[in-house]
Amino acid sequence: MSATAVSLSNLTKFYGNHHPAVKSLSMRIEPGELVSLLGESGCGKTTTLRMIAGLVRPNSGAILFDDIDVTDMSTEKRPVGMVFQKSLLFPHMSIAENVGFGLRMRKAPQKEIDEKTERMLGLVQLEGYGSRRVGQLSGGQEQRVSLARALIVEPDVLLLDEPLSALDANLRVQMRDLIRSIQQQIGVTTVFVTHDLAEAVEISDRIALICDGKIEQYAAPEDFYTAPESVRVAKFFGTSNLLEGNAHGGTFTCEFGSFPISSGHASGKGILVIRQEEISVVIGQPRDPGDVSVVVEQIQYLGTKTRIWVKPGNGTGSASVQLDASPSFRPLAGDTTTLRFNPRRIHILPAEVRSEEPESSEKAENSVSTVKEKS
Amino acid sequence: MSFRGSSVAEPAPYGAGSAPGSAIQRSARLPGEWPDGLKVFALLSPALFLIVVLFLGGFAFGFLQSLGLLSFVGDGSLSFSAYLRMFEDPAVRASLPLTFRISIISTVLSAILAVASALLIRSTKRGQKFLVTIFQLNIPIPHIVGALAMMLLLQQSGYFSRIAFALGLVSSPAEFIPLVADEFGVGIIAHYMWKEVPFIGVVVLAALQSGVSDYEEVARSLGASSWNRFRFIILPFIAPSVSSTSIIAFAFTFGSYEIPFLLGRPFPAALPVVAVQSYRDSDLLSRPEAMATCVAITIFISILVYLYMRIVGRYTGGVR
Amino acid sequence: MRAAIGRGVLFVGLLIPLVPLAFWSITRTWQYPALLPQEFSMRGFEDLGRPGSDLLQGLTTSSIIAVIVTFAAAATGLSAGRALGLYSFRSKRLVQFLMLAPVIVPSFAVTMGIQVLFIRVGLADTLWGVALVHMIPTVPYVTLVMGSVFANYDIAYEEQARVLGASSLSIFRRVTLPAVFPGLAVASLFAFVISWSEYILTFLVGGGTVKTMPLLLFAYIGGNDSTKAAALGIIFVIPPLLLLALTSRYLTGSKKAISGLGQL
Repeated sequence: MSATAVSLSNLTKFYGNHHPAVKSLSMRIEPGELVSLLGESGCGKTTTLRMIAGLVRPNSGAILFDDIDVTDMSTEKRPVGMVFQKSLLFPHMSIAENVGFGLRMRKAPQKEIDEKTERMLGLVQLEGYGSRRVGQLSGGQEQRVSLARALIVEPDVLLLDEPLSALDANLRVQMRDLIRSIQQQIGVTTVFVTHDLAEAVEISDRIALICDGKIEQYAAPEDFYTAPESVRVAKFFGTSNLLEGNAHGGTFTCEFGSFPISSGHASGKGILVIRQEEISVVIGQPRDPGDVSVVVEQIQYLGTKTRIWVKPGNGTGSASVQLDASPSFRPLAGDTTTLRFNPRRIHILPAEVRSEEPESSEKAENSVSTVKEKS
Repeated sequence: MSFRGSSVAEPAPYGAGSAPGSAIQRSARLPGEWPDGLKVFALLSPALFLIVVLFLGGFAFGFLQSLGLLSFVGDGSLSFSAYLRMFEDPAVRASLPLTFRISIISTVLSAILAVASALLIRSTKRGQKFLVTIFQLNIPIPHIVGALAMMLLLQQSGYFSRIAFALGLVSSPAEFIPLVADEFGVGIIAHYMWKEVPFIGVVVLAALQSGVSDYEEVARSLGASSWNRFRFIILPFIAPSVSSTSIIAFAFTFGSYEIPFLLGRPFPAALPVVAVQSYRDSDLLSRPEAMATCVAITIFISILVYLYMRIVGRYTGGVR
Repeated sequence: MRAAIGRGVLFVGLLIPLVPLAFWSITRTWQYPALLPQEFSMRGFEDLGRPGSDLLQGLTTSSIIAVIVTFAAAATGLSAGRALGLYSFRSKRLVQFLMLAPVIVPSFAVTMGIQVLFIRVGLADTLWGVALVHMIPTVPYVTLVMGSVFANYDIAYEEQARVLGASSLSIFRRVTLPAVFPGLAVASLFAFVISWSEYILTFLVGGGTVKTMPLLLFAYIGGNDSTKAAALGIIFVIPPLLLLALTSRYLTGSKKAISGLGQL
């Protein structure tokens, strides 16, 4: 069975007269890929997934499975399999009946149902569990049954809506490895919704970071670390080392000093991004390009590392940079030291209009109003 | 004897047992605080006293009177003749098929219509609140008023007959088929349905709105058509609600006096009507027979109550 | 499309019995086969409203009995429900059965039996006798609803109050009662409506001396005056509808309360 490509083009969905949950979202998922839709609650990732499933109708836009337009196709007819956050196993049926349900709906002969059910249970490492009742399983086992139930109908697209969020941390790690290995074994095109960064990074071929109903960046996991496309992406992936400055020739100049960048880079205002794990402490004075002299501002000892905030060496300026250093390095506030910004990991973003403040206060308003609604 | 302790009741799907609640034994007792057993007894005694005296006592007195004891007439010696009289009484014999027929038909039809109505209401997007309000409207309307309304609607000179006249289907009241005080009991069934459909429907609607839609989504993703979703997902989900309210409805229709009296015939009459007829009969020998009828009704419906408890399953003090 | 027709049928089916009832109450003349009364009049209501009419007596008697019954059922049901909801004990299933049976078993059957005792102790034909017998369907019903309420009640609030030094009475007034009030309100209102609508129990024990509204309505229905009967019926219906409207916000989610309404 060859895998299916999924194309979303200009999907828009709004509820009532609020701003849209999903705004003109377009992306293409290659056959056999596992793509994660990553983002905070309310960003539109679940809505997007449910549109692919057919449980939600987009207001405009199209969804294609290979070349077939499924936008107007009802969920029952779409060749999708779905696993939800809650396992939603039918309580009045046995495990085997749950797994075989999809085939029963397709009026498959009982022998085929039984064979495939056994095979599926084996795939999720639950051989022999067929005769058990739903109440007898643990959370992780239930989700595995849920996965078997979705896969037995050989869907073109597998959709997972935060399937591991309800499990405890250890189980989550085991389960995501299992899901990834099964997915690669079967080769089914998969869309995985999560708010957990580590999860997305670990299992995805590509990640679509979604904010406010739009795709902020759609790339392989490492690209989000080496080449984030916006300040928002950088922040989401956990770095706040964003230095405003100017690019000119092969150099970027900011309050911390000058750093070498690729010569083909456009001139003008920009933002330098350097991750805290790509900054190292150097003994002695600045030597190589990318070395700067800094003053230690604040230290936090974290057992496995020392987290240090530093300011530019000349003492002026408001910029601040954070790095994680070896736990044996314990400077004091006010000490001068030399840092090396790994030149290969310095990334320049175009200068952005700081549109973040209004949006974050919008978010704050929204969360206040939802609190009011709930009470 | 144990105290439940604070526990968070987690909603279980498909009407399974409610709050599992761990029975925590409290070790510390405040000075002057009563032991749990005494507390329970004190809390229960007023209600239990009333029930025991009035309900059990009423049953006991009725039973004794049906055996010929405690009566105003007769020599007060034990006799089963009242029961024999009851079994041979033509009024009772004619009453049984009528009473069962009315109760079974009205309950079954009401359950089916109630489920259909609940599904219909659930799928209504605009005006759902309005429809729900109308649906619940006749629940507090007393049965007697409902019977009057049905009479004015269904009798041969009633509103339906006049509509039929306007449509050219009848040309005089006598031509309109008798729906009230008729042999089959159509008017009685119609009234019960008018009251029971919202009663069962409201409970089914509440059940439908308590989480089955998630399971329906799963079923849809697995290719289930709407009929299959109803058959395999919705029906098992609402079955406890439907059965328990249907039992209540059946018991009520079986034991109701006012409606069959107002909307039915004196003969054959529903069993409660026969019982009251015997009670008021000037022949005082009928009194024990009336008591025997009451005893029979009470025992029969108590069996239904037991069935009800079995269906609803284990619970911690409340009836679902 | 089919759904819209279905909704229409449902709407009509639910409301149509009320149409002739409403029209008859304001009729002077309404002969067959007219679809609307030929002559309207408020005679029905006027006759009832006259001083000395049965209506006043019926309203008073019904109200007094219903109020007595409601408070008694609320008090006994509240305490019995607490026992059922918060504690587990050996004979709990039996007690639950004893509370469930009078709700489902028709009360007239046991009332016929107890009448003998009522005559002997002089309660027959009295208002108090009728009130007492109305407790048969109402007390267990309130008990069961409150049992449900207490099953979901967190005793930690009371323990917290005790730790802060509150007396038992204080705890009841300020912690318990407010917490269970919605369920109690709904159950009490339904107890009121059950008593308000009760016919056969009142008839058996009251012997026709205690004239409540249902007895009155029964008599009018048997008479020839449809207008008067309809008018009385409408007046009779208003208090239950009003009370239900008042407690409707407590009603949502309280399907246990509704389950007991098979009584009405």
